[in-house]
Amino acid sequence: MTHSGYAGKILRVDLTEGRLWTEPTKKYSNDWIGGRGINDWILFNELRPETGPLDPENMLLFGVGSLVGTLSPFCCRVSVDTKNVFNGGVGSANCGGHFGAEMKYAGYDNLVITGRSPEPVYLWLNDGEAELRDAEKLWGTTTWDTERSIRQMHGDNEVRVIGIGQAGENLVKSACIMSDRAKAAGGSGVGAVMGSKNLKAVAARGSQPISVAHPERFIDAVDEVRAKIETFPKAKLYREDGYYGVESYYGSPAWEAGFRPVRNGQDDYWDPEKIKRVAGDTIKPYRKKILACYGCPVGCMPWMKIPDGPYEVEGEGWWNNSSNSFCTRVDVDNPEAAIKAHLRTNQLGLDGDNASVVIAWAFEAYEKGLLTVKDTDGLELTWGNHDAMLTLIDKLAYREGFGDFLADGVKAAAEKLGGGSEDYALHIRGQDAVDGIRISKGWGFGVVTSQAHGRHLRGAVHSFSPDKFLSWDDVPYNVHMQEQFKAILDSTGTCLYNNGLLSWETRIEPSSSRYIVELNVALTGMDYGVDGYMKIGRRIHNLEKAFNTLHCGFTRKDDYPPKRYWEEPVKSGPYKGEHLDHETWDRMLEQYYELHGWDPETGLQTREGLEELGLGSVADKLRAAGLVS
Amino acid sequence: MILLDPSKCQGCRICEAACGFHHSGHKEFNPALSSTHISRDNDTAHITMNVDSSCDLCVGEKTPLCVKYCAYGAREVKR
Repeated sequence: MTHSGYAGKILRVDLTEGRLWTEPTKKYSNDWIGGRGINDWILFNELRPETGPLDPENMLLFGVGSLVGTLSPFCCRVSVDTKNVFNGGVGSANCGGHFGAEMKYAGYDNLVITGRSPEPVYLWLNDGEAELRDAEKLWGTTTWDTERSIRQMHGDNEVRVIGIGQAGENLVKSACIMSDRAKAAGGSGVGAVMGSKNLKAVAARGSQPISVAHPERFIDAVDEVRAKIETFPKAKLYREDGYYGVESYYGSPAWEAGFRPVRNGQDDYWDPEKIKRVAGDTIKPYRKKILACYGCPVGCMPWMKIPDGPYEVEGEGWWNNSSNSFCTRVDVDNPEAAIKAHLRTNQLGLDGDNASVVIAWAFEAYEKGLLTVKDTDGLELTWGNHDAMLTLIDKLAYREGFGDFLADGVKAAAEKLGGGSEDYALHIRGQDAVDGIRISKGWGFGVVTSQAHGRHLRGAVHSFSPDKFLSWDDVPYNVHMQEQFKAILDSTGTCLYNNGLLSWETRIEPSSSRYIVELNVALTGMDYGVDGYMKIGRRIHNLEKAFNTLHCGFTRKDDYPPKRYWEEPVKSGPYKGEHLDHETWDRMLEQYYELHGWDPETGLQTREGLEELGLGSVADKLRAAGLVS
Repeated sequence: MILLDPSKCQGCRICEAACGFHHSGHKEFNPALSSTHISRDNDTAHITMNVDSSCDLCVGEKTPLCVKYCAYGAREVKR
């Protein structure tokens, strides 16, 4: 029986035994939609708290959203979920590109991978069939070479590949999983989990059909969204200049919003002369083309090319965060070195967001004299030394020399070094935290309370209006709404950024999800209405919260920012003096917990709240561990 | 015929989805039924586009769906 909107099957893989089997997606989709929702439910129910992130028993799940592979605009996303290598809690990453649609056409909505293969392998998904194949020759190669080799082996340039580079193989905690060479499922060390399983890549090719429950209604919904998108001038600009070109031109408010901490967060304001050298409009000469993910009418990712010189490179990728990770954070204003750094991390399968935190911390420890060239393999880690940054990226991915010292993340490195370096080790619940959080309050509060630990892809909300950056008005409400909304986006496979054209400029309300809900209802026939979908969003969010409670014992005490952001104000620029204060933060936390129906004192979930969401079995598990109010 | 301009194509492949949808009688998204194919060289970003002989210029539709849904102006219909 067809399952409208879905490939219809979930693939289970036991790498230790080399065993593969399937189960119907229908078993989960009515309650959890798809993508992250299904992944989270399986993880919560099947992964034991005592399992370590790099143990064979840990599970690695890939979930394609329900709307992926259809005419739904900007629906291409894959959710990768596992146990987080930094802290053992929720591990969750998400990427776009073309792999998700191909995985669905190959016949699978989700992959649930456990065990550890005795030898390196890749998983080949081919038109309804799946098998493990030898990856010995791929091991040790970059994500780019891996993709090229797999396509050559299959004699098919349309095979889509998601996989790890050297960083994941070497169990570096900031390792990510790369799709189509350029789209990173980053954070949580998902690449290290994949490496620990001896799984180099997943490759997909297929032409299995995806049926539509209500075709005419679906086309109407697609046409409505497409027409709406064209009313936003930014849609046209993204296609022409890419996301970075549009949002990070010289003079853009984004440069003053504190999203890009300067010199490891010593400041949130960067010298305008330096901004000028790497801003969206000034790096335009390196941008050869703008490319789109599957089914996206608002392509936004640039193809960058440095034709010659020491930083010669060519490839897809450069994003807003890149100018944080490889520019402001280490005070680098050389655009060619920064672009090279971004593309090099793509090759090595290193998450720029996570990796740049520990690199910038090392630069600061060097500035303060705690590290010298004797410790750093001769590298002079002076701010702005782009060549040292580039060398360190490779050392980190290969765990070579000083790179190995950094490879377990900033918390572990600071604990080893000591000397007060812990005070400027920017992590949240143990995971390296890239975001600037002192200025834009909705962004900062969402980042810190995120169930994915210091990452902005949960509840973080922001305004592009500078007069609202500092406002705490409605922050708990907006963050708790965004969390539910984002869970729907991740389960339907919708891009947060381009969907943002439909919702980000306004306050997030349940009605913000109406376009996506209508598409999903028409495609799948699952007609729960906007409120029903938002409830599923709350269920998914609460599932992650419960996972963190059960696996890590996280409570209210873990919902606070790193020390630096309390004690050190922004040092220069229009927001000079801005910092976070305990009294306001505590008040916001209590409001936020109450909105979620959690105990305002402890931050723990309540049995009543969970039962109202139909999560009585989750409450039972928490009660058995004494972790529910 | 469908006129193609690879210099404008950004490689989203929504034309493939639209084409398969048409050929299935609006029942499903089926890559095997698509008359058009977009390919991208990931070493150079070079994009190639083609339309094969199974294209019926979307008989029964107001506009060929691949043209309707291309957001990049890379396709045009010439009757």
